[in-house]
Amino acid sequence: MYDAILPALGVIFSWPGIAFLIGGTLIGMVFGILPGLGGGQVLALLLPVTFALEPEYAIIMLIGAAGAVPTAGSVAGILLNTPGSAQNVATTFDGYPLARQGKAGYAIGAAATSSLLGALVGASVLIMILPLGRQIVLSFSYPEYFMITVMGLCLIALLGEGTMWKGVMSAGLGLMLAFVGADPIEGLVRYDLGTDYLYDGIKLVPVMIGLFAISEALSLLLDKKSVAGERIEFGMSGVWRGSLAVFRNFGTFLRGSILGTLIGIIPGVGGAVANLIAYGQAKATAKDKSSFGKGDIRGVIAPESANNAKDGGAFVPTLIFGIPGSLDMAILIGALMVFGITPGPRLMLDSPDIIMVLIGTLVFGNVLAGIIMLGWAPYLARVTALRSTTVAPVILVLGLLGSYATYGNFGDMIVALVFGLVGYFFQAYGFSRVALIIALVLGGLIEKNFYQSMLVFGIEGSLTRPITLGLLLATIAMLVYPALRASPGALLSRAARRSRSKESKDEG
Amino acid sequence: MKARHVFTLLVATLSAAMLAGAFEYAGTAAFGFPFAVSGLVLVMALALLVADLRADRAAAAAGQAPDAPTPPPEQDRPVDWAGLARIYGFLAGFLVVAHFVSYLVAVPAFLFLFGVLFCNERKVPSAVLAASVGLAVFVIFDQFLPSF
Repeated sequence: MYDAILPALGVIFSWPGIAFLIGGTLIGMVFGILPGLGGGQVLALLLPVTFALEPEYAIIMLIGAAGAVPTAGSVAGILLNTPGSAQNVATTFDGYPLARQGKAGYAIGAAATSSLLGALVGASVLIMILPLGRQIVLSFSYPEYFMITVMGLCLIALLGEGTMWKGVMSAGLGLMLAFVGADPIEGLVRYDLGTDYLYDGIKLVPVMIGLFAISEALSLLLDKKSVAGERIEFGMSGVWRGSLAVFRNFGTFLRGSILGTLIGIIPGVGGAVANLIAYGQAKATAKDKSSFGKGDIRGVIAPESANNAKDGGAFVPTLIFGIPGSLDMAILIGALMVFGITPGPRLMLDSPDIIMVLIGTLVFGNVLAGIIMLGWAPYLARVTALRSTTVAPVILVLGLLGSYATYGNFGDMIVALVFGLVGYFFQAYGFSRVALIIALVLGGLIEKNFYQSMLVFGIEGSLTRPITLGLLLATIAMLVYPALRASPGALLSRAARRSRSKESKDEG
Repeated sequence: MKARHVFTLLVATLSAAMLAGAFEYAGTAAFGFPFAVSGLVLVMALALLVADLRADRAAAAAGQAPDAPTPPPEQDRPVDWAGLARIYGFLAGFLVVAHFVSYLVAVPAFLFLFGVLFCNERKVPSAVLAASVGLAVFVIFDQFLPSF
């Protein structure tokens, strides 16, 4: 299989392969920046365009576009607190506070570099584990999925936005919203208020746009301030500092990338979970976590490395079993089948060249998107200097159109407006928007995987599975480790204070 | 009762409605997660409301900031109700025009009118912003995206 690497690079860098790579990447970046639009939409749009192309070039264009989406999605999240997609939600937690401090270039530099390198890590891991992919995918079942979602939900305890009491209440509200729609086990439709709109539940994208984009636009309009106030760093120096910050926090980056890749391997979990778990992990393992949520660059590096690395992982079930773990992968499988390529165990034996073109495009598409973003960062950062009366109405319009564009449903615009108000009041009264969105993302998965675990394995069967047990211990460690680590430090500083006071007494 | 208390009361009412609604369904659809979570949020919201009201009353009696389990009242961000109502009035107009006419009309009309009437911007810059965003939206959503 590895013999196919050089011929694949030849295809990508030949003419017109490179043109399709650049074209696909640029289109993907546009979709990534626009709120509400993501990998699924760009692939659906490009699919008919690629029918006339050779399979290799079609794959280059499609993967180039899909791979660029999470990279570009961080831009609007950092500049305007409007995540381009659910994969970029966690980036806003520290990216937007940095933009408010006039350090948008610094944050974008870190996001672009960690995205670029995260994709490299994801692709490298993919190449290494493809031969073992079958065993890895088969070792995950409902109890493991359940424990991963529980781990994600436990992040709320680490976020520290508002009081813990209100954080838990916000998460409860998010879970309650996730229960609207069809029950995952019995298929009963719950809380639909007699409308067809709620039959499929409350959709994530309009809620996310409302909570973050529209509520932020309301704050900007009513406070009558620009995003960054008076202190803005222009020029490339901030961007380079952001890039360097990734290397200075290499451990955070590497942990985020590996977590992202592993979560990507699990079908149905996806980028929205990967970036949240990577953020929580970065905060849990940080020595000084007081600056998280207020503009800590590690809070940008961890989620951005994870959401790009997860694409590498997501190819494992897609290519080995033909199991689409997400909407993007489902469309990609459809595209491959149109060209007579059937993903599955035979693919690695029959068409290793296609696999290598796919992996190579993922890497070079992300490199290209990262470089373009680094080059644009100083210009993009200027958006934060614009007056609120210019920026906020445009956020409102693009947010509403983005929420409509995802599913083409007018009701989504109303939901976005309602959650804009909810987000505004959450901020005003100290509730946690982040806890609500995490719970909404994970609520359906938790409920479904819990009951399926109980039905298939029972409590004992679920908890005695090694990976489930490992994940349970990791979750407990994630919650307890910060406290354990703080204790020796606190003891030491207390001891130091005591000895200093003793010394001063002795000297006296 | 302050606006903060009304908001907490709304959360309690919503969770009570969901708890009551859970009884309409059978099996895991009701007596699993929905029942447990809405019950928990209801109890937490009521406890918060009681604690908040007590703390406010104590503060009023003592003439100082209350020692409540929530941020003290002075940390609540002031809400500009009139401003919010005006913005939502404009947004409702935007939705009506987008639904019954076209979003291609609604976008520039909203940006121009909102800029002039709410933000007190001059007419020419507002018209330029409305036209340029309207054009960009037309190119992206009408020419580029098939979903519109």
